[in-house]
Amino acid sequence: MQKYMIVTPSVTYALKGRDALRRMGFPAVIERRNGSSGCGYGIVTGADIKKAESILNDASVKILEITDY
Amino acid sequence: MINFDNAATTGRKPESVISAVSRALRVYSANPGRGGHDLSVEAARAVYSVREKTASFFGASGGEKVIFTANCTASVNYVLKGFLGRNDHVIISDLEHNAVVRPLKKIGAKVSVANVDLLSDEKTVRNFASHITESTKLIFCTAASNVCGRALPIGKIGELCKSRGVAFGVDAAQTAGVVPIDMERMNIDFLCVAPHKGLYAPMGIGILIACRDIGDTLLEGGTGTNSLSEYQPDMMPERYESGTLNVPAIMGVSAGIDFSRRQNFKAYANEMNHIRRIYESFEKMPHVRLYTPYTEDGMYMPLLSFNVENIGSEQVAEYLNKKGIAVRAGLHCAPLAHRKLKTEDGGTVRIAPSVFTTAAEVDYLISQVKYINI
Repeated sequence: MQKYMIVTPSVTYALKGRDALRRMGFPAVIERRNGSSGCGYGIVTGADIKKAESILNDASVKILEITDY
Repeated sequence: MINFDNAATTGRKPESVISAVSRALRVYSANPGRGGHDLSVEAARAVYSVREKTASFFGASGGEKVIFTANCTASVNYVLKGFLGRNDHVIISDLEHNAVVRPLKKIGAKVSVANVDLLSDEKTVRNFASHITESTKLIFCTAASNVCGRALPIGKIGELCKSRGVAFGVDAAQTAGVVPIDMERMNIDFLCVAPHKGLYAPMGIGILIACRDIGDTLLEGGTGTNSLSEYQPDMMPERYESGTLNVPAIMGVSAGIDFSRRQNFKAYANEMNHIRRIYESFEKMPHVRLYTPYTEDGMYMPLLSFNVENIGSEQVAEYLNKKGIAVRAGLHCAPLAHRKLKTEDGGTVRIAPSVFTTAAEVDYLISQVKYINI
């Protein structure tokens, strides 16, 4: 299954996003990541990334970028 | 000692709060939001759950609006110094604590002071409204005076602010956890909380809930993310939380909110009964001076100021201390309130019970004041 890293601006948003995805039945774990602006947190999830993105937007979770995991 | 100084901090903490703090020291042994290992993520998760619980308790949408600070004074400073600039117009009440007065002096804001009527909420709201101009940026006021206990009509002031397009900030140091506060219903933009008072959490933590942009930061530093950038990040709440959080105290806040929920605000009625008994007894003592009218619940918080004729407030407090009773005397860091009560020369003695205060303790206090002999 394809997995994605959804990068959020803070651990708070990563946790908020993780909880939002899990409530909708998506598997989601938090991992530390390094990106162009330095360190941060991302949510690792699989399945339908468009649906996942929609869930996060509905939950007002800020997304910085989505990358393949 | 019998503690009647619970307005400064609630002296006795519930066992659940003590256990939560103790557990946090043992279990949450990593810095939240700083590492990718399970210990750090677990600590971050625990902190996040308290943000969500706090937001829910105060009627704010989203844990990310909850900022943990060093104390309520820091929370007030973040709001005032972030939101206001020099010459911005702000309206405060004539009961404010120095936590509000001093930052405004430092900022150089244009300050209007609204008279709080000790008996009428309608008059109080009209007094606030009378100061609003087209340039008013913020109304910031205490939810209740730490000197005389007068509770401001926060909901009505919030309505006024919304109708006039003015931001609204509240110093809820004396009311949070004691009476319900719903930020959304009351149109509160910024709520500053002292969890170590009405929420029975430990000292060393404050809460700021910001439902609109605060503006500038007071403190910049490491936030655990975007470390390559030399600028403070702009996302909430980390923008205002540089440095390591007080995780044990945050867990104490969580337990304190649970304790307050279990009380279901019944403690307010019990504590007001204590204050009413004290008031009714003091009223009959010719040597005791009171400064507020007798009222029903809702307009006052459970605290009371008094003086004894011809004896300084600090002397009375010292006398009561020797009798095993803790009270606070003086000006209570609230010069405006004392000017309003005309007690700025010498201050008052303040009594504030807690949820743990007993009727026997109230009886003892009354008897010691009745037969005071200095």
